[in-house]
Amino acid sequence: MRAHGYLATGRRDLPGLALTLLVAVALPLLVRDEYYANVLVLILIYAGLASSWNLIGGVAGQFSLGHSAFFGIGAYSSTILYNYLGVSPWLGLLVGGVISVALAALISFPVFRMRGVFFAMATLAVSETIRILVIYARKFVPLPYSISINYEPGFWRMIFEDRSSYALLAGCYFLVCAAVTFVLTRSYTGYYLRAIRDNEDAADASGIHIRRYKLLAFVVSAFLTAAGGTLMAQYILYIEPGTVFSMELSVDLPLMSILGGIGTVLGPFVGALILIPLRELLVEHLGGTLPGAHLVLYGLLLILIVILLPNGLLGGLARLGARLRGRRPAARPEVRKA
Amino acid sequence: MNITRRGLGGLVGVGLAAPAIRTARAADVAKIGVLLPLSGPLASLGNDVMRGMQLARSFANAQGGVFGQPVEFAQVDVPGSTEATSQAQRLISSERVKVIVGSYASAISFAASQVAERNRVVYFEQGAVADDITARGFKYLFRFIYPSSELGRKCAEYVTEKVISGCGLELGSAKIAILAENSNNGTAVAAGAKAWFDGKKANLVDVTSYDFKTNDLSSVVQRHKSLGVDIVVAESYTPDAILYWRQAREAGLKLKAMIGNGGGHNVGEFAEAMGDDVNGILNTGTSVYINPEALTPETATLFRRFHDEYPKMFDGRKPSAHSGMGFNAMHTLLTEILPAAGSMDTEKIRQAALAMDKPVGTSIVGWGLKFDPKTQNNTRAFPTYDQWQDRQIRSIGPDRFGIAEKVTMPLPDWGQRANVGK
Amino acid sequence: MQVLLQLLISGVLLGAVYALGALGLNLIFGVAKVVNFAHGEFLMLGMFAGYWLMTLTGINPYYGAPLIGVAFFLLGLLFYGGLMRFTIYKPELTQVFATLGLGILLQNLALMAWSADYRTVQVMPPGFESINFLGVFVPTNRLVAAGYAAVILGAVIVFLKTTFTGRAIEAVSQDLMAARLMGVNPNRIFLITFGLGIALTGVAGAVLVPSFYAFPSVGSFFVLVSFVVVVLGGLGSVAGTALGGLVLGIVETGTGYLAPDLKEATHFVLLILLLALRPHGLLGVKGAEKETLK
Repeated sequence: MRAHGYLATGRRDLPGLALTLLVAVALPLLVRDEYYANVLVLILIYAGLASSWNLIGGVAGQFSLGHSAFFGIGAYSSTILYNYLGVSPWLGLLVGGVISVALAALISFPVFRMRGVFFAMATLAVSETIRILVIYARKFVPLPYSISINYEPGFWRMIFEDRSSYALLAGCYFLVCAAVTFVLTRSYTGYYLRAIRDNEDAADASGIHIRRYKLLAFVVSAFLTAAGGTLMAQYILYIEPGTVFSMELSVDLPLMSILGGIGTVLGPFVGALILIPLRELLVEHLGGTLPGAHLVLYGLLLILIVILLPNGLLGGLARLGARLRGRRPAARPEVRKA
Repeated sequence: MNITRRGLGGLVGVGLAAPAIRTARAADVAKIGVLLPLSGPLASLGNDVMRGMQLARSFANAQGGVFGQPVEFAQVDVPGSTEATSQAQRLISSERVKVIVGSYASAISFAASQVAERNRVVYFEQGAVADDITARGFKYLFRFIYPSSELGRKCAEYVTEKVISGCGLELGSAKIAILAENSNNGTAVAAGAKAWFDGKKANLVDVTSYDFKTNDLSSVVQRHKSLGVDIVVAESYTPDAILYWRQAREAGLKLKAMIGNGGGHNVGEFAEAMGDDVNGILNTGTSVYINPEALTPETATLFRRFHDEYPKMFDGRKPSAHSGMGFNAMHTLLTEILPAAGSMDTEKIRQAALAMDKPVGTSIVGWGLKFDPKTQNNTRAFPTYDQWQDRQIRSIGPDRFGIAEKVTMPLPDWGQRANVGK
Repeated sequence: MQVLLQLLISGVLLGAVYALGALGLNLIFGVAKVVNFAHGEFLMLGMFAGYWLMTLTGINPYYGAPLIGVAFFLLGLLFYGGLMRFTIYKPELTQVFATLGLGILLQNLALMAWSADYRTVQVMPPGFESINFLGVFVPTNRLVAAGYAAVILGAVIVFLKTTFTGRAIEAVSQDLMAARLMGVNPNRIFLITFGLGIALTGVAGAVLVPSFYAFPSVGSFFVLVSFVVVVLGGLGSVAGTALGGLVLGIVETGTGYLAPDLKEATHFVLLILLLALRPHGLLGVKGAEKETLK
């Protein structure tokens, strides 16, 4: 790994880059079957969302459980602007992003004082509050409970006739998120963030401006997550408070990051790549017959994966690679506080 | 008895032939897509609907299936709208169904029907009531049930026309409160009811909504008490319906009338939880406990068969309105729409559906069938009115559909409702 | 005035319900520092246990709760020995998702076994659903639950302060290394803590089922609020859980009277406000909020 100017890059990055470009750009152009195209779109949007989460949750080590707040704000902003004011979702995306950034900056004041589970709970509380407020706002603002977007394909409307176009858009979204993560982690900012993650007090003592870097990761994460919200809204063409501000999403993003390898650039992507097809597979083979059967297996798999691969798939692969090369793999992080 | 034996014989025949069917090619079965919440928070009623559809399938297969082929379901479990798009897509792309029947919940219906429309697959909505589901100009979406604003409106109409006077009150002075859970369903029903009440200048003292997953409604009960509410118009799912009524009992809330709008208010678990105190509650919605004499003779026979076979197929369970609606949609599709279409060609199915013209009284829930050419809603679906008596839900109207001998109003005091309806 | 009193009583009883439901979580959280996302599902299992006990044997869950407590103690031991043991020394994220996976597993096993139907039990004889006390209605089911909550809380505090094992548990919760140096076997303590925590949760479920309903997803009605109660009250503090529950119950009921839509929002707003002003919770140890989740 050499520092190429601002960033530290190396030959080892090439396979990752190749895989990313393959899935994000090549596949969308090649896949024709509607069903697989749909799965690809979801994988890519989720990969982007999980990467956005990973910025604050993995790289900076602040485990947020409230990211659906940003997702929902992005979805609602662009949809309301489009449906009622005719604003193109491309612009609506930016508006949603800015509002999310403002929210992130606002809540950073109370929540950054906490760490670990407290931080997680606080972010979750924010997300749930916003969901409830959006439902409550209907008493004062004439907003329908659920908003559906008319299917009228058009580039400026961010609505496309065939799914491959959506897949390509999602792929570009993911590439942006991955690129941002790459730049952030391989630069000095990345060092500072990791220092904060590993031992905030020591980092503080070393003179690192804790709040500045946490805030940076947080607002960038918020912006990108909101963008993903807009994309999803324009794909599904239907939003309601329960789905865009859902706890499930807030949990899925860290889950994918962990499965793939939290804190790494491509971990979230790998996580999405595994989790979404896995779910589809389970539903397909067990979903119809006995209600709940596929979820029983899903829960079991989750437990196994998380215990056997605490550093995610990429971590597991790294260990395997090290072992194959004859080197002893790095010790598993023993983080139990004494 | 003849029909039942034939039916049973047919079922046995199909059962014995099942192994042979399994090895047959996909083209040898008539595959219908089914999309419902079978797990997750809506699972209870989703499974109810599924059971109704399964019964309809067995009836159709007993008569030789559709196009001479046995009917099979390609069913997917969609706990919520997040999964709806993917699963609908899978039904269409992988299972290659041409017809889908769903979805129970409005959010699921929205997302899934969108996918169907884009792929030109016919989608029959059996029970989701949100108005805007059919306001999108879709050509392949048909809805059997009435929209929720109509439900709310009809409920409010029943209140102003019958309930207020039945309780010995006057329109301008009777205090009415609306209480609805805050999802799509509840919101739309509440809006429909409110619009009617405002139009009639009724004394609406409170409109409240809440999260159906709440653990406590005692504060809402107290609110109603403080306001001196006489009549509550409610729309709830099952847990919140039970919670409100229990806590109303604990607080000694004295209402003159309580009228629900389907959901949790017309299911067996509500009665089990409340015992005799469920008696007297009114309900607007769909019911399978109506008077078969209001139906055409053919439908009356089907009605009796439905009530006979359901407990036999499902371990002694009694059917609910939701099973009835699932049955109705699937049965009509399998025995009338598809045969009229002649094949699984979606255009023919569409035309056959639009050509359906059956008068009121031709389905086991009392409706007729005529899809509006523009919205493709069933204009001959309407809510029926019920009252809980003897811990059973019994239809009390519209007139000839009622089976109850007597309607008891106002609501007797807590613990004194054993004789409601007598 | 009457109304205020009624709301207060309702709020206190609701608070007791919340505190009872959160007690087991607090113990496991405070001592083993484990975030148990399957907490709601254990509560659900407790509710089903209460339901089946009553339905199959006729034993009232209020009398049968101690029995259920013992059974769930064993379940808790199994939970630790069969699963959590492997996550204790791993990154805390592992625990979060392992318990999440377990929660999904349990919820859907319950769905497969018992279907999605809502099960209710009638314990109080008709007419005795509430007592009229000075013009205020006190629901009896919740009163019994509150009574249980008070007794259990008291018992747990006594246990933690007076018995050797109890004090060992407190020691582990305060400083694991120091406790080790004092000769405490952390694994045994974790084992007992899990047993106790799940036992308390099972009892809570059984005692609450007459006031609510047993069905596979019922855990999701309680899990968030349990976490809020625990964090609000202060990590590891049993008295804090009680206080947190009470505060939450009273504020929620008051809000419910004025603006029912916002009822549940009070949980979260309270949490955010409190954590902003007092990050370690009402009665928590100062600095607890700085523990990281690595």
